[in-house]
Amino acid sequence: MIPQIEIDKNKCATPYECKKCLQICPQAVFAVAPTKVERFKETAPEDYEVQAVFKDKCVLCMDCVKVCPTGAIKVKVGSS
Amino acid sequence: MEKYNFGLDEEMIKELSEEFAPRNFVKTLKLSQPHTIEDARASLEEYGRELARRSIEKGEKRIDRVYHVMKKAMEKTGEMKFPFILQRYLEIAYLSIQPFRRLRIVANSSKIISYRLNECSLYKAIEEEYGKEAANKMVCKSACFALIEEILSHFDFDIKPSLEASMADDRKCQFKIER
Amino acid sequence: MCELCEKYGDNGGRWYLNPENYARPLYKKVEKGKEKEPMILTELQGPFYYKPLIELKDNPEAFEKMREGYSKFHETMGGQVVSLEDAKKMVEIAQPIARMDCICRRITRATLEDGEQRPRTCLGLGVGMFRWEEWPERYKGGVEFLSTEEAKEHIEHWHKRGMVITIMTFGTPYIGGICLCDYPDCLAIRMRLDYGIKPMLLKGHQVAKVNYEECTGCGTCVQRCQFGAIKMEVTTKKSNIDMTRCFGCGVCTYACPQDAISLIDREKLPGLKEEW
Repeated sequence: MIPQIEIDKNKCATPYECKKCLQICPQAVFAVAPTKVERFKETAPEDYEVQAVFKDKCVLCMDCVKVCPTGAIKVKVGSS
Repeated sequence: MEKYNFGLDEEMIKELSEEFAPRNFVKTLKLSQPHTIEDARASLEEYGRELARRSIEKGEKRIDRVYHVMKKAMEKTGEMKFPFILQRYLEIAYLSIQPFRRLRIVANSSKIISYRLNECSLYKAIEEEYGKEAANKMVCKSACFALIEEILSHFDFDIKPSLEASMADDRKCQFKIER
Repeated sequence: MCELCEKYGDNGGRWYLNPENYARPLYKKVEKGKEKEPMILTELQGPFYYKPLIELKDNPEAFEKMREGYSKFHETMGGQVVSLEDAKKMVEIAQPIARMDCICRRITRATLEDGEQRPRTCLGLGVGMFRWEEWPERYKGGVEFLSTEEAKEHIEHWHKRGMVITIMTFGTPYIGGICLCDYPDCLAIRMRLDYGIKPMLLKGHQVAKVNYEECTGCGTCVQRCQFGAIKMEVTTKKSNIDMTRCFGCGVCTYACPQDAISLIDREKLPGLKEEW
């Protein structure tokens, strides 16, 4: 039974610069990466996306929900 | 960031490939007459040396981004002249006269540079012009040795290259330059 | 025997000490009109590349199938733990060596700050580093070319602070990097430990063994092990290493104030020589 973690992309605009959830999570559940990579170019901050990749590791401590400045993260007990 | 060109100057390769076209050169060797083999060897050596000289002369003027970054790295670390300067000029020379698009590098460490030719236009041209027997005498190796030795001496390396496999025996040539 | 050594070793030697596995040409001749667009690297399509694997975890059958797929993929891009001693031999072979930011840590912790915090632990190897400017996103913050001695110092510095030294291949057996890794921000250690994707990170050629006469039971090593292989035995007051779990990284050998832990060759132990 894996917890459900939803991130509202509209509220989470520049995750790589904010990085609060990524750094607070005791289980290192999140990952942030560019959605596109081009030659000779750095990816713009708004072209990054954060996802709860390792959600099977989540213990529902809710630290990420509390730390998120825009209220973009929702964590729920998963249904099996 | 600027859109750099990391490849070799195409005009340079074209010029060298015209100047050193193996087929045209091989016709001048007159290898069918046995007493000319020493002369042939001498002109193969001259061909290899001249190819090295011209590659270096042109290559030092037409600096691609790989060479630029490599030079900066050499300045900073005080290392890498061996193997990379040698590798650069071996690649320029071979890519100018050979049909393949990449030189098969077997090793390029701080101590050894080794490469392999699975096909060779010089060997092939000799075979076509003078027959298999003439080609298998491997007189052509004089050109490769002269090429390597000229590059080594130009950059102040006192190293003797060796031939580890030959077209005649192994259907490929493999050279090794070890410090 | 180590499968990689068997396939890519130089006369029975360790595969990562074979100079052939570092060799690449600098240039390639491009035929006019036939230039290929380079493959766009999106860091494994983002770490999201692993997403299906993780989401499938509650469906054992599908999970197993997916895991096999990833294992297959990581036969071409994977790695192995190496000891400090071997890593020093590697940087004597590999040229050039360029220090860069850790890509895993950037993905999992979004670390990229200047100064002390800057996680510049990775070493990119080989001629591809001369072209780093082609992919400024991947090499964010630039790269810094190191001499062989500087590279040795760099590796030793981080290893003695607790980081595991690993190799990364880019098209096995071509060795493209030496990483200094730390669970959980390292994706390779994580994929191996938590999801069982073996070729992503094979165990090293050695394993750690405690000398019980020297061990004082201080417990320093226990805190350092990233693989959960060490525990204090309460009654004997000695640290105990489970050698079947040990990856042979050597971090504990440097952590121990008594010098009571040493690395021994895996292949000399019949019970471990097939355990990678």
